[in-house]
Amino acid sequence: MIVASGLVKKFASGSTVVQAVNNISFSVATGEVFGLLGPNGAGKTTTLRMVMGLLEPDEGYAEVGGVRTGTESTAVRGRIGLVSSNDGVYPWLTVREMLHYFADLYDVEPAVADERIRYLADLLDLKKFIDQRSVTLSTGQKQRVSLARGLMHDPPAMLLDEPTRGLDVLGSKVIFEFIGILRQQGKAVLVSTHRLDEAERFCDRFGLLHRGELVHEGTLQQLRDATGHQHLTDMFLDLLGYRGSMETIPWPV
Amino acid sequence: MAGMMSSRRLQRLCIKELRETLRDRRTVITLVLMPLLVYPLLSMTMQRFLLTSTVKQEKLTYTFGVPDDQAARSLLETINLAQAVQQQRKSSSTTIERFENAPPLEEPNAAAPSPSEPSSEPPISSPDSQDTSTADKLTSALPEFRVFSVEGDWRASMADGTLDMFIEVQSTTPPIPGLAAWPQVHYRVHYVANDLRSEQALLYFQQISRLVDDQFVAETLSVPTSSPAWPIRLIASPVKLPKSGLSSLVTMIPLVLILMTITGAVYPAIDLTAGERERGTMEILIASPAPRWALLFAKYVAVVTVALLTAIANLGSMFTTLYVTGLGKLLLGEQALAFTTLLQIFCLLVLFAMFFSAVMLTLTSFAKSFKEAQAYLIPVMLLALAPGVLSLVPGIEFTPLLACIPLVNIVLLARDLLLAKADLSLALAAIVSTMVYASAAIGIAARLFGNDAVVHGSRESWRELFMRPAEQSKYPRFDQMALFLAVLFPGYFILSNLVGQFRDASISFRLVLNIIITAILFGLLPWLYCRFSRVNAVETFRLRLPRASLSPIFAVAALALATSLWMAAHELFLASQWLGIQTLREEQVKAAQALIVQFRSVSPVLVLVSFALTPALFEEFFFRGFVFSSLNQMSRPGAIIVSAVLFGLFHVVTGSVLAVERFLPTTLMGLFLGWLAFRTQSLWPGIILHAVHNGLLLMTAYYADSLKNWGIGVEEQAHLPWTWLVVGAVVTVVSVLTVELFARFRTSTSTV
Repeated sequence: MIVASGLVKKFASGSTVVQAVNNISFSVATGEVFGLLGPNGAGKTTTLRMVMGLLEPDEGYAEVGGVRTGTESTAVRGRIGLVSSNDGVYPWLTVREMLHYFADLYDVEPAVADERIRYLADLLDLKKFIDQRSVTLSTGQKQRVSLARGLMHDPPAMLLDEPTRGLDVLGSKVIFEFIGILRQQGKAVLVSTHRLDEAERFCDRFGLLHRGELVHEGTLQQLRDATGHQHLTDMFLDLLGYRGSMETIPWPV
Repeated sequence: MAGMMSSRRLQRLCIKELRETLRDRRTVITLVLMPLLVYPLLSMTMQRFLLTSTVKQEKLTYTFGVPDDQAARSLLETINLAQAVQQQRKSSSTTIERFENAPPLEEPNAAAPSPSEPSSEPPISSPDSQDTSTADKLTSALPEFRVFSVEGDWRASMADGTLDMFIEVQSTTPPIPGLAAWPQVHYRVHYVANDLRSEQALLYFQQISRLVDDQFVAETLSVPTSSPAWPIRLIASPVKLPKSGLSSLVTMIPLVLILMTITGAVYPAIDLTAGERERGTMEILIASPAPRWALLFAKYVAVVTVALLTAIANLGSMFTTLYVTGLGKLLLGEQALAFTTLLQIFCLLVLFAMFFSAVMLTLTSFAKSFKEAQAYLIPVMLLALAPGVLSLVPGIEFTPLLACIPLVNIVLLARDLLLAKADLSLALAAIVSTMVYASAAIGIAARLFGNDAVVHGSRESWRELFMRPAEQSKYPRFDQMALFLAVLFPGYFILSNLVGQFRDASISFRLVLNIIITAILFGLLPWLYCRFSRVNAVETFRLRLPRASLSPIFAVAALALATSLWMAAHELFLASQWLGIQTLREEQVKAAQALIVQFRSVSPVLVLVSFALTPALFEEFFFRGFVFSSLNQMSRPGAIIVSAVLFGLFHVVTGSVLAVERFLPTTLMGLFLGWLAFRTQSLWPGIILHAVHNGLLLMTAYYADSLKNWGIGVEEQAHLPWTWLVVGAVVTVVSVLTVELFARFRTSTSTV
């Protein structure tokens, strides 16, 4: 469903050119959850933005449902649902009004939108505050609203950008359940996160990003075989060259 | 489709933005509270200002105009007499008391106007507080008076403030027997109604008359006369004049309204663009398939609406204040607070709100945060003040050039509307240019909106706008065209005026200058712009010939259309005039005719090159090439209509004159030319049509005398014989069908 092929993106900052993403390829099938993992600054968000068609790749391409994404092609955007930890809400709109607004953005008929809002309100437990203005919502409630927002147009592909950032245990649990539901519904899910322990639990396959390059790709077992480490966290520390150096430095007396 | 948008969906997007803005208390506060506070405060300061200015005026010298030296002598005599009486009174205070019980003083002046005066003349208006403080008035020091005999138009001198009053001496009856020392003079005093200074002068003149009358009564009590005749009669006749002195204060009204309208729109403009980014909603918005123009349009509608609501609140509050405090009457006269004026001002504010909202959205679309947006907007608002203050300069005239300067044009037009002296053509120029600027701004805003959501730092998007794009493109984008037009339109205005500066130069020089200017404006500048923005000039200007085998057919059709359409254009021109759209004054028409006469001194070839061939070539390249290409996202009929209307608008400007009646015929021609370019996929048939059309018009004027000799004269104002019109209509229809048919034939053969 989601295909990235040889994606390259460079940013010029002043006179230096930063290679944000270098030759990244992967694919996500329907009903599959693919975790794009990496430390901060590894190029996760840039990759997601190229897949969404918000950024034009310098080289390579991305496809969703066989259609190439790009900044000029808005048609493919209707097939992608987006949930991001940076997502805000419109403080002066009620939750219902905001969901209707997103239905309009994605060209969903108001009647269809009403039905979906009913379904999503049940699914994500929005009923209590659905007619409240968003300015009054708690962080957890806002997160649930933004999950609902991503599903308003029933997209075959979902992109989740750091969905658990800033959430407590309960909030994270809601996200895990949500991802489970997405898998059940047969959506292709692309999740970017730096919470490796969580990722181990809900992703089917992984891509390890480091300094803009895809170092490893495969199922957890494949990664274990390739790296010789049991857990993703250890794989990463290895990747970053971290050898527990903190213990060896003597305390300055 | 991604680019398409149902109107209901767009409407729902707009409603969302409006909801979001209007529910925000901060918007409502600027919307409602500000006008409620500002105007009463402002009116208090204004009244203070007017009060102090009157106090100062007491020490000033008043100037009276009179028609001749004899009147001047008589007036001076009266003034001297009054001053002498006052001196005498000051020395003995008893006189005052003696006259305190005298009959009401205005009686002799007002009671019996002499039969020669039309009875409709109002008697001396008795300004308030006159009765209660008559004694004070009589003893208060008289200011200096200067008397001039005026030749020519005294109204003009009063209008520009040189004269405070104009006084005519109506009749001098022979002195009453035994009272030879007393002059018998009737003055007709023209003063400017609602002008503070002039009304003040009138009051002083009434004081003079009273002093003389009092003295007369005092001295003649002992002399028995059969018919008591007051020495001085005053007939005050108010003159309605546009007052230059107060007009700067009148300009304040639209300026304040405009500034308040801006204030109302600032917050929503920032909130709906930069706020979107600060809230973290920009990325999901841009990631949605909704076209960016639709998103921005919805925001634009919201900002304009809030600006308008602010305008309504301000307009209401301001006019209520003006009405209640009586300031309005003082500043504008009776007629200015009429409902129609209010409506006109409101329409101007609508236009202004559309313009400034677009500008603000362009700026705030750059910004990543509220802070950054404010940093952009504050300098712009201060900059906007500068032309506003410029328009406060007293006596500044609303000229065609000023009509093209944003903000200044709206302020001055509003001032002229309030003073009831607005000029239709200048008003149109102001409206059209503001609309051009607004669409340029909104085009740029649509392009910039949301760019920053994904690019690091806002500098990239700034740079992108002013830098050469890295890649070649086939056609210019709409926003590029709009930006170019926004620069070209005032440039066109200035250059057209420049030709007018060479009125005394030789006719050949002016014809050549016209060629050069046309080539620069419609040829060189757009071509340079294409080069700069890496747009394919050959594609954009559609420099292609139709297929060689068919081009003669198109050429013949174009020739036929040129001859037949000329008649339709002529009739439309007359129809425009008949509809009352006549802005050319008689002397301008005469000047145009004189120009034609001058043309006859040079070769007809030069005239044709200057006014037919060159405009045909370059205007076709520009309107049917450049403009048409930039509209390639639009539907074909839409593109034809837009380019035709632009074509019509540009032709309204002819030198320093705005000929609005040219709009309809030129737009009609534009429609045909656009259709022809689209059907034939080439500019050349249009160029032929355009050149021959212009050429025919020129040559009928050029050879008008010889034609008349042959009995085929076409009078400027006359309708064409109906037989001609029928033939013309038939030729038009046949030509159009021919083009349609062969164009289809060509496409069908080319697809085979």
